[in-house]
Amino acid sequence: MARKRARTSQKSQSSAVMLPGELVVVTRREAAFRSSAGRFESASGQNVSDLANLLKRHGARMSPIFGATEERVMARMAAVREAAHAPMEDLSVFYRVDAPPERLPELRDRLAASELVDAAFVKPGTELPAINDMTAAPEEPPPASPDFSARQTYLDAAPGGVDARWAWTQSGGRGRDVRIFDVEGNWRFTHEDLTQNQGGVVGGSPLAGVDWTNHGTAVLGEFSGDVNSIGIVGISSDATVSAVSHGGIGSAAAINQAASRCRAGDIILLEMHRPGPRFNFASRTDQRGYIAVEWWPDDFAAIVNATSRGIIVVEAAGNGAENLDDALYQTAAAGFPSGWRNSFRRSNRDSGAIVVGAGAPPPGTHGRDWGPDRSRLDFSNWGALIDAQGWGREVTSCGYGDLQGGTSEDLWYTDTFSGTSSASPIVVGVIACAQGIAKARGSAVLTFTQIRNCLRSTGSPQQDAPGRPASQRIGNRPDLRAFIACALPKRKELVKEIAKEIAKEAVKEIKDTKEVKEIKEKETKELVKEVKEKDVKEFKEGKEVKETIKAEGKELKEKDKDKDLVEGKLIENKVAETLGGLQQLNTGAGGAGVGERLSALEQTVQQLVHFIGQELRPDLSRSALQGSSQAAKDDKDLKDSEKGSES
Amino acid sequence: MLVILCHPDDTSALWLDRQLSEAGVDVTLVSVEQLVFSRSITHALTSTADTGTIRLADGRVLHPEAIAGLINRVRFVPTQHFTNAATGDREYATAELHAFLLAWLNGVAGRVLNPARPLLLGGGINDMAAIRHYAALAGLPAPGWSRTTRRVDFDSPVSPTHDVIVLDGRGFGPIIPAELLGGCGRLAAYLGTPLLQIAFSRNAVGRWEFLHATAKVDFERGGRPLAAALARTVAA
Amino acid sequence: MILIAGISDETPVSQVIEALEGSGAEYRVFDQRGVAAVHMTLEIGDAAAGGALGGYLELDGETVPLCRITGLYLRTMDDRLLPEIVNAPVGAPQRLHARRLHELLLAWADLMPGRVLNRPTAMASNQSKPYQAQIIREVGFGIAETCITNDPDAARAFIARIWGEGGGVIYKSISGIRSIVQKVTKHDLDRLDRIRWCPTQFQRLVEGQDIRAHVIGRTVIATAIASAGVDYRYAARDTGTPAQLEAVTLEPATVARCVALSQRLELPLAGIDLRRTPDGEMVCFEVNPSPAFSFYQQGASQSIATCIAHYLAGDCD
Repeated sequence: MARKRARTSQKSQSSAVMLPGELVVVTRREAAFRSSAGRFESASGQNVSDLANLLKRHGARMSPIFGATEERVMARMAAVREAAHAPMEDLSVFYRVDAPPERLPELRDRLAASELVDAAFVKPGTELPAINDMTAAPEEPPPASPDFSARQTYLDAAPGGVDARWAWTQSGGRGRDVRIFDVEGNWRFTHEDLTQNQGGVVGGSPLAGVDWTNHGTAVLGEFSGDVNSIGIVGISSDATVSAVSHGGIGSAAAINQAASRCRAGDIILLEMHRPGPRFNFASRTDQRGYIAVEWWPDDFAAIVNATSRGIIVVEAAGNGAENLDDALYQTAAAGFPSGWRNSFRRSNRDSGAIVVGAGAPPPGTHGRDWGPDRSRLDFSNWGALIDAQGWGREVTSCGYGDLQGGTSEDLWYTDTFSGTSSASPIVVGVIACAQGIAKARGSAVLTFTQIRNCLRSTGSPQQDAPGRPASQRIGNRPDLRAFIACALPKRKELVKEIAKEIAKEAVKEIKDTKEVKEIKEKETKELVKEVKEKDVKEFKEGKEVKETIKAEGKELKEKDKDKDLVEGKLIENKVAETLGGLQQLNTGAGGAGVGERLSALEQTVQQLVHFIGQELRPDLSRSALQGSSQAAKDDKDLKDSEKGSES
Repeated sequence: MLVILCHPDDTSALWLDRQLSEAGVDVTLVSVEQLVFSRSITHALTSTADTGTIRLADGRVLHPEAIAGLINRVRFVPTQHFTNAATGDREYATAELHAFLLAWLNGVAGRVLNPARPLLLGGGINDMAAIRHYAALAGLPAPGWSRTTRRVDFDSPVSPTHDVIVLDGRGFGPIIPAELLGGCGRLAAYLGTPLLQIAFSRNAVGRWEFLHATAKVDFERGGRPLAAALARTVAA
Repeated sequence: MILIAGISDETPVSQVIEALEGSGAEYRVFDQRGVAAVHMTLEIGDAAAGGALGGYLELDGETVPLCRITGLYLRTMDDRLLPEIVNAPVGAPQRLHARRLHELLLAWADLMPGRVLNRPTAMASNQSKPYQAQIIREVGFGIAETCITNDPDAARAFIARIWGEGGGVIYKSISGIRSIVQKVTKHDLDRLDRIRWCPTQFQRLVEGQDIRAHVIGRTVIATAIASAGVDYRYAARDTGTPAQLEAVTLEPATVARCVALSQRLELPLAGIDLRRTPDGEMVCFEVNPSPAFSFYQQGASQSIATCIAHYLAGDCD
């Protein structure tokens, strides 16, 4: 059902900006269906002839979405499953049915009735956002492109920008050793300002038409623009950027192909939206009702299989002016699998994606006013699942030609790239910078949980606009400086914070005389000083220190009944325990925000002790090694561990 | 009542629960986390029987002596609620909870699939040497296996073409030759897991190879026939 | 050939070595302290070979084919705690080597044909006392009335009922981690809230005569223990007087039940803790899969190690 948009000679030419719908089939896993490599069969012996006849009558062909054959899909999944820390969806049961578009609805109905089929649904075509209808200025550019980076005020400090310029002062802060994959229609990798760190198109068949290439090129420019004296500069220009087109293979396959090339911590950007149920999945020129792609089962499966392996997926919320919390989205579309649940409500199920909304830039940017800074733009979808906002207007980047035009597309620049399309690359750039800094510091890459937590707890908050209150959530605009402090706090700073809290707690806890209080404060200050001095050593040798302090505390407890000294040692115990726990947190295994760490610290004040105390549980693990005198032997034999097997 | 005991991320168990509910089976899904975080756990042993009561936080009450059957999907002992325990006590409590769960599962009156084992609460064996040995002993086409301390060897990634599920010797999922199915039943008996998923690969010239066996069965692979068979055997 | 695996100067191990030496049986010793110099290769045959076990152990300059080993006494400690290993960094070569060796050794011990005292998988039953109690009960022994609970009210009710009958209540570990058995006192009632976060085991105190029955194959060697404390293992600490040991002969029915229990648990070597009540009932508390028999051997002058050596050599059932 492709429609062609009429273009004047002044506007750029395009063959189609909307793709036909896709018929997606999910077979029942018990059927062990095979429709590839010349086969059409059920490995579990079920009758496939009805299905075969149905497809033949409609001139249709069914093929696996996520690989050439089902075995290749399963082999690929088996290879990556070890790295997954959440269950993965079985991608081998998803099929695309190729048939004349006018036959899709009837074919869907009949397929859904087959015993071998769990789900059959028509997915509307992925559409190019219509909001970017800029045309190239006719004047030829100067011999050398000017430096437009001063117009990229989204790079500046918060609250107006994301403070990318600060991130660039940090080691790794331009996204070093990070891979980004953009999933959309097409790009112009020959652009003059996209020459460094480019991986090119690595999947799909790029879609013809300057609208598609303009869009992709503008997206790339935001995070990947070269560092030079011309044009623009990308937020994370050291990251390697590649692209997968959904042309010819569909969005779900494109996402999966991008994921197959990602390591944990790398980023996939989904620059897609499509018509949702609001207007019965119909394409509209105003694109109202258009939503993020994870709502559809095959796209969700591809996304979750990526995020479960630690890959960061950034997803545009869509330009449909929709409330994604609406109960409308709880209802499955016709033909969805019986177990489908609405992922727009993360309590149902969670794709793991970072979802981005579009907010207004500071009024006066480029001489225009789109409403209060960081307010929701009228077209932007909103809802509880939106994790952050980016600029949805006035983004200066490559492509389109309205800022610098002429006949060569490789020299085009825009001043007005818009939409959740322009917002999402800003968040991608922020995350890429953060991952680069993490790697440079020798920390583990950030997980999507950490990223979401820090995007939500830091940054410049959303503001109200008339008719678009902040309760229509699009989240905060990231502030890289605060984001990094949240996601990757420096060890010394953390220890100082913790030591301060311990000191506070210590003083609070002591409910004694002034004399005792003074003693306590003295001891606590000494402890804080001690902690500050030992911070680096303790993190490296945390276990040792912890054990030493614990042993001392225990010993003292047994020897000395003096309450003050015991309490002082108890505090040291708590410090040691907390530092031990923090060491674990700081190795990146958990990586919770500072707020969470501090509340965990407060909770360590209350510790759980088993009814059967440690004094009743002799440590027999090394009893076999004890001395050889007869008396010792007898005593040892009595106490020897009559242990079970080693586990 | 049939109980499915699983972890919250066990999508396969969730699928089974849906299938059984739709078929009208009296089934209840309990997460292992809910069980260990229970408001009240009491398990009594006498010289004649086990009795007990577990009052879950959502109000449900479980009596092991009244459970007609249980699908056992326990993989580990949840210990999130031990976060604020002293280190020594945390390790001790983990061992104590593991020991309790083993006895509780063994005390369920009805059939438990798969029976819990001291080393693996979910049942079965996960030692590669043992699995290969028993598979070969069962007559399955298992290749030889060797490990030495003189060298570090890694298991190659496996790409199964056929994942078969056996329940009490009956096969579900892809059809495999009868002699292979017989071997699968024997392997399940050797491993003490009446419910077992066995992975095979079949190459281009039709040669079969045994790859692996696991007690953590993907129920959806066996589909509705497997769900129906489980309902019959476990809830009976 | 018999293989002994453990710490060679630990008394039970040294006694078995001494007994084997005295019997003239061919044996080798894998002392875990020398793990760095030991290598092992384990092979599992393919289907055509019926999964046959093969491989060898490189020990003290000798390469011993695993198929030559017909008996194994396995009393290993956790290799991660060996003095040579415990302080080594996480990825240190000696740590990895020790782990790999012990993994192969234990895997082979579970599968090898021949006489193994005891197979690792079988020994794991001791990790849960109530699980063992369920099996003990099946064999026909009495078990102590037990309440495992995280509910202070349920615990109080259990304790109150038994106290009301004039009995006593003890508490102890559910798992294989030993705890010193303690009697519940009024003071303990005040801290019962501590059980809320982890179920705890309470048991009716069974009065009577302690008996340790060592089962080796089909042979049962029983020792009676007299002590004033609740836990005779700590009698000296708790009462000032160590426990007194004496060899005893059990009635045939109890002997048969002990053998049946060891076979049911697949533990040809088992240290069974019994208590004969004043009514003559035999209550069984637990089955130790790796019994420290030397204490009983010395205390009651019983030849347990010799019996183990004979069993491993195939001289008796």
